[in-house]
Amino acid sequence: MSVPPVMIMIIVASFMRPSAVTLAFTLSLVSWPTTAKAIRSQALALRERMHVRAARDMGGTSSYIIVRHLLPELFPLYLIGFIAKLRMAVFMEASLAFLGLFDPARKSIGSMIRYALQYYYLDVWLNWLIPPVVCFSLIIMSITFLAISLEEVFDPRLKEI
Amino acid sequence: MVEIENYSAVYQDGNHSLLALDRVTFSLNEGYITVLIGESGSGKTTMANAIMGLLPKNTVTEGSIRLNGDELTHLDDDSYRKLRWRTMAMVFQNSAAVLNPVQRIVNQVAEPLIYHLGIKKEEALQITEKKLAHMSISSDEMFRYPHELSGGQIQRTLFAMALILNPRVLILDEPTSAMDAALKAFMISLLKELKSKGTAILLITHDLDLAVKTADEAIMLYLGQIMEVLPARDLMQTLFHPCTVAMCRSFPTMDAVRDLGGMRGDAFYRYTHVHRLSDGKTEPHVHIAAGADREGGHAPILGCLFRPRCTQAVEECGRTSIQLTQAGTHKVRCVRGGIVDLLQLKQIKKAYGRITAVDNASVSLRAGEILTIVGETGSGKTTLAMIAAGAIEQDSGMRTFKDRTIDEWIKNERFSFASEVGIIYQNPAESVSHRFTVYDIVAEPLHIQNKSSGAAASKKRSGTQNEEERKKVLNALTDVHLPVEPDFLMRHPHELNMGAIQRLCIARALVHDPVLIVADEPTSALDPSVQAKVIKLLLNLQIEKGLTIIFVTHDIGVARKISDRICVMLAGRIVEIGPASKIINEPRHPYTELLIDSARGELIHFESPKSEQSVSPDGCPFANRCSRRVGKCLEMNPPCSNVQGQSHLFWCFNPVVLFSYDKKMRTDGEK
Repeated sequence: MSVPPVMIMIIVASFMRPSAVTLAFTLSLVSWPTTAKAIRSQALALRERMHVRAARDMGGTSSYIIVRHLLPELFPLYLIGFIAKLRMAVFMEASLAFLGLFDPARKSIGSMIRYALQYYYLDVWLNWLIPPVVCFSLIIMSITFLAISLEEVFDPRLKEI
Repeated sequence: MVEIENYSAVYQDGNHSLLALDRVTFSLNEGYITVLIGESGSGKTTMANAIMGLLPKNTVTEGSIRLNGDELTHLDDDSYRKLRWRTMAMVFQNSAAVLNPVQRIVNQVAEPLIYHLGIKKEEALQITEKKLAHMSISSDEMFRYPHELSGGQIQRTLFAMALILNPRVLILDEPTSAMDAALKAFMISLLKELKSKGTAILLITHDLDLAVKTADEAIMLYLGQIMEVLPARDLMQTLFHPCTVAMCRSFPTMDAVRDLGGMRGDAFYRYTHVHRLSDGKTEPHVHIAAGADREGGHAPILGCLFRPRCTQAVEECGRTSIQLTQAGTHKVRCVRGGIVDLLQLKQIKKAYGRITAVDNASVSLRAGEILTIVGETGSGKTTLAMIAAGAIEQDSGMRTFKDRTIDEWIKNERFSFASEVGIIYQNPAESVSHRFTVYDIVAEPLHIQNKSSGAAASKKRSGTQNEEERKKVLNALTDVHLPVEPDFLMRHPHELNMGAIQRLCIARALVHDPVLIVADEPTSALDPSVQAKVIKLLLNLQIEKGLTIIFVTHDIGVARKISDRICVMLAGRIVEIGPASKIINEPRHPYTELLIDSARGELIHFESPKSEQSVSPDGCPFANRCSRRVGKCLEMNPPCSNVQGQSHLFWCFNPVVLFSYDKKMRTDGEK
């Protein structure tokens, strides 16, 4: 946990053939524990809430309580966790590509930025750099907006009546 | 003197016949007051009329009524006329209609003297005046016409009339219905005087207070059947039949704290009639008319008549015909031998780590009653209630529900136990998931049970099952007076106010049609007006559905209003338990007194612990704060003692002896 994920990524990328699948797999492997920890602590608190106890007193089984009570209540939490990790993953892929630790034949925002910066002595480098940077920001922003509206859809308290 | 044996009376009325009395057996003895109680329509007045030979001509009767061994049922009118007034007299119920409006009352009262004894008019009037004066009717009033008198005066005039020939048997039909309290006291002394003279008295009344104060024996009639025969002093206190319990609970007295309880369902008359079947055969059977929609109006030919309104009916009640059986000093017509214990907790112990939450608590809960557990926070009342509800497991001790061990029941049939007990939690907003709609919240107990009844059921519940579920949910919502519009069903809890959410929780607890409701501080989060509504709703539900309720509260003021019995807890121990009126008016344990005094606002400062002396863990939990402490309070827990002849128990070495009422008088005097 204390090893920065980006280091692991660099090591993995340098030793293995860096395909997209390996990348996704490694990224999820290093990024799940933080979210999981937050969800677990929240679930422990939630378990003692009145409505969950009520469901148990009514004879509700564990699977019933998890599906009907815990998962919906935890939704915002794992949504935020998921979005944060998603942003991180996009960012990390970009940085790996930027560092050149990635399959050079693959098209990637990171490699686009890298190539643009390689030609900074030409006048055109700014025109090459700005589109990928803007796209990159837009992707990350849209992911955030998506999260906000998803939460609105699934939480009745936030819905407009 | 008068013996009534297996007497039945049926009023004929066209196609229907009304069964007014069904094999009634009892007797009236010299110097003995027998009281008939029961709802209107239960056959009380019919019985009185039967003894007096005043039943309508079209009445079919069976059985015998004997006066000093002579059969009365075969007497012709003339012989009967000789008996009336001289040997047997009756004070009628509808008093104003009985007197002749065009004669002065003194003349009317003198009439029996003149016609039966042949006394001259002047002499007769003198005797009459004396008698009327004895009834405290002034000489001025004696010469008035009936319409110039008040209801109470007419009643007393009728009394004078009935007593003028000193009859040996006196029948009083609702004598006090038109009387105020002062006159009632007069009435009571009069009855006692007659009793000492050796008159046999049959008192018909719905005034249970009068019954307790005067009568020797009480007979509870229900739809013409005797349900319970009991010593009259046991009325309002020790009752066996659910019917008598419900009756006494409804009656307002000065010291009953929770009254006007009522009886569930409606009163109805019993009709017997003949059905003509298609093949020409006839089949007589009994109908219970009006309101008895539970079984299509058909009364069980076998079985208990009170069953549809009973709080503890079981299947067996409908199968066997039930006879009056002796139970102690009572006679009860009940398969189950009178009211039963629905729930029993024996020596329950529960500790959370080193903290003892409940210590050796034993409670039993009678079917159809409201038991309130009061005590300060941390006294273990919620824990005890939740142990009773099966939500928490005890460390040691026994708990039984409907004569089955709860622990085994939960282990083997979790769901069937969950549908017997409904729980209402403390904080309504917390106890429902805000992601559920109103419909989902109420249907949740059903969902839980349907899901596991078949794995496939959750995926595609069949249409009928869905329909059934919807019906149950709507019924539960109607029971708690919430709307059932589709729009409302799709609402979420955050759109509702607290009162409505608490109603939802009550509906959720009711959806399985439970027998027992455990309500843990259901109103502490509500403001007074909403609290009043929720409490009234609970009380109504309790009566209409015959529920048994365990109510947990820290507010003895609320407890006073709702409970049949109160249980006071302190530091995990029960310190006092008994009928609510006794606990409130005559508390024995100093802690109960403290609770009541502080609720009344009479306790001005909080008493800090009296001494630094340590109380041993076995000592009385109240010893440190107690002003009545004696030496041994510190070392040992007081044993259980009870107030003489009552189900009022307390655990104290030096109980409070002054009743709070006297104390109040005393302190007022000092001021």
